[in-house]
Amino acid sequence: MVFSSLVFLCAFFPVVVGIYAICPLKYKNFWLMLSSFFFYAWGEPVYVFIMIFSTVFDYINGRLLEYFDLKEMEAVSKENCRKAVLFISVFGNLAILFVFKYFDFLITSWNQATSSELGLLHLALPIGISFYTFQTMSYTIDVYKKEVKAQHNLIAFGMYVSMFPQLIAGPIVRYRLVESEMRNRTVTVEQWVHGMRRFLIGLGKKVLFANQIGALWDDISGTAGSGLSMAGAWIGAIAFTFQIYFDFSGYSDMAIGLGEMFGFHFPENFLHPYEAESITEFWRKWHITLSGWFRDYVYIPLGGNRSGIIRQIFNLFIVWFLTGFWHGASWNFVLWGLYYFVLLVLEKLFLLKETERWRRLFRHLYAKFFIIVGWTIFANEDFSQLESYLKTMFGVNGELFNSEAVYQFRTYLPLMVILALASTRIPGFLYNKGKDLLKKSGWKFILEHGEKLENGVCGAATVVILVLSLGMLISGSYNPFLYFRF
Amino acid sequence: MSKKSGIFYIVLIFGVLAFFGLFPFLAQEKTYSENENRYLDTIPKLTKDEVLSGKFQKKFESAFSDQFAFRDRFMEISTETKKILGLKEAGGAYFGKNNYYFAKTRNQEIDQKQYLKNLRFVEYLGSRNKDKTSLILVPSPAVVLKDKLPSCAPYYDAKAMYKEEASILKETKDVDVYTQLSEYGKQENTGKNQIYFKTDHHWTLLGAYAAYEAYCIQTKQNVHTYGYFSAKKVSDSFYGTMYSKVLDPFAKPDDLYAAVNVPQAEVICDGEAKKGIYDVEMLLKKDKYAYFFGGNYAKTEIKSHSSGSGKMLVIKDSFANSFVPFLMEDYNDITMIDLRYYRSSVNKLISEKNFDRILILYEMSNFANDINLYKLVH
Repeated sequence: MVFSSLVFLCAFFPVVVGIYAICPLKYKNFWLMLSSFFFYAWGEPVYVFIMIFSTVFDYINGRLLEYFDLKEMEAVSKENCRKAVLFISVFGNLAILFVFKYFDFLITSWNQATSSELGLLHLALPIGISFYTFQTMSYTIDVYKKEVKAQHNLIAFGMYVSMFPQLIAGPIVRYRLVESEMRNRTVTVEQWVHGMRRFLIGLGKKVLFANQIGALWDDISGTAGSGLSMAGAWIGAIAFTFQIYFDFSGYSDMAIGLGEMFGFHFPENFLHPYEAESITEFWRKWHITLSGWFRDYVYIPLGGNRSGIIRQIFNLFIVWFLTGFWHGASWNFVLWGLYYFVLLVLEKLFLLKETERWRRLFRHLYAKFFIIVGWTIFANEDFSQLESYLKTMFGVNGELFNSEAVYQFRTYLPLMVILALASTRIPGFLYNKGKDLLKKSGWKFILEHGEKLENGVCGAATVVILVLSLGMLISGSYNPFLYFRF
Repeated sequence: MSKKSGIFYIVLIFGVLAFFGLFPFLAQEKTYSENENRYLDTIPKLTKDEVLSGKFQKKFESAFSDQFAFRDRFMEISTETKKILGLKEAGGAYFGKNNYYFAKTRNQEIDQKQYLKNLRFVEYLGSRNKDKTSLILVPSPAVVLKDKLPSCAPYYDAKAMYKEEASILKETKDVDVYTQLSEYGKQENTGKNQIYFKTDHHWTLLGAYAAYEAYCIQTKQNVHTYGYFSAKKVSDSFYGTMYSKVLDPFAKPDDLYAAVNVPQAEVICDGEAKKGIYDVEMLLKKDKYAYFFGGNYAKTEIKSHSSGSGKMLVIKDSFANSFVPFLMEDYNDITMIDLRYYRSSVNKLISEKNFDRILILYEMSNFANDINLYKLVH
């Protein structure tokens, strides 16, 4: 199931949240786990068992790590046992990921390279597998590092792994972040309202912004190869740039909002990444939980930046290769990761110092340019298609512009301006500024009823977002799920 | 925030969501949407196999959306939202100027290979029936009414396609109706002078007349004036197929005119006798264009009590339905066949009936994408 569907919004959501609200604390985890299984099984009726297996597997690994830790035995063999368990856990998780996500891809690549004909498994990719295997791995690694205690309650652990808000598109919630909330959590009315608003804003970002601009990208990528002009290619790349941000950050907002309604505090995943003035800054603000995961579980264990610049560059290479590969079993994602590896290393070596001397506008243009080109690599899975698209973008083939591009530019310019503004802190800034001005105006009505008025306006605005989103969903407008390769 | 207003907000949202969630199960299921002109999905039966394969879930989601409360209102909201965001299209239709809606038919929506094939099928028929076969390719509304499209909106290249038509047809007369329609289209496009509907993909009676005129002139036949047929308004509340695509609450209904001064006739549609060429009951339904002959049939036979004594075969799509009445004065025996439904041999029919004239009439994009014209060679 996805959040941006009528069945989720009008059936699953009210039922699950309604029962959750009235059921006693000790059953809340169980109910959340049960509904998460249903949520997952709705789209993946058979693959839900992989998730259940993964849950039980890492639950046992956690318990084993604890068992060996407490057992009285020689320090060396204790460490060996613990290492073995950790190895089994990491290996097991990666093996699942490998079989379902990468096996066919690697065999196909092998077959193409050597013109052999090895058989394929033809397994469909279980949705969200990359997110939940990363979550379970973070758990066993942290138990191994003794940063968290092993979870004894299978239901609580199952709830953690399967929790539907972040199950299929993140954020990646590390076990240690929610450990205490799994045992005990309270939700105030204020949190409820806040979570609901956050959820509805995320829904609007996905349905009203991402889907609408996504339809333009869908149109343009469909004409690529014939009749696409240079201007059209740039419009398409910018459209996808907006689509992926509003889609992904909208999903994260919905997840975080839902979490809040259930009493959890999930980490932020996006902090206005398109405001970035460098690639380094962009990656500090884009999909934060994923970069954090790779930093803590790959980059730092490899030695990070503590063993000289050559080793650091090598470590970065590994991290960005994996980051790219994580986004999908296709070479373009690897290329996309390595593209960022090169840019980040260049920035580390000298470029960042150089750009700091530039005017702000040029720093923005520099970062935007490489981000947009980056998304072009991300969005074109086929290499020959990617090559022709990039060529069109840089004027090697096709016209400079054509009437189609003019139409698209004129039609989508208002939406793009809205999206550009909405991806920055400007709306929030204006909101607070306006509030301050009203407060300072000294109107009696505002002073007395200011808070009520604000709640009324925010409440009404989110209801409008909900109604408009329902309209879009019912009319069957373009509504893709972008994370089926993750 | 006061606790009360917070609870009110939460209960309000969940109340609204739960209402919409329950509605599809509690309300009487609808099976057809006149507004959208299509059958609706209904809540599927639960079976183990369908659940495990995920089919049930897909069907359920589709039915849940089709049975949604106030579905039509929500669709209107969606169209208005798109307009507010500055978009110029919804549901595969452009928002044209002056309340026109046009199908978004771009080059990539035209099957060029099929088009050339179809032209060759027509030419084959023409070469076997020399000097009496004509082809009319009706330009799509937006081809003639270019200036009503949103500016620079991509649209298929009809000119190039007419050129291809001219180069392939040798024995078949390619009747140019584009020029005549453009001529009529230059006049004020309101009410009586409209050549295409604003909310439907068809032409109006006047549009059909323009093509009739062009056909008669180019095949050297007798032409009656438009006034001769005394057009009469039969409906002023026609919301056509384009409206069904956009469901724009600000759409203006079209007037539907029909020719009154046409001979009495016996009409047999697929073996069943009809009351006449017009089906009055269709005026009460949404698709009022079906007033002409009651819609499309595989074979329609029209025997009119007129002074003319010609025998004619019309191979056609629905555009011919409002066109054919003009021919009834001069042809007392007209047979219309619709290749989408016609299953017998066309050539056998031709050799049996010995027609004086054969006319193939299609809207251009329909013609290009139609996969049934191979029947012309069987």
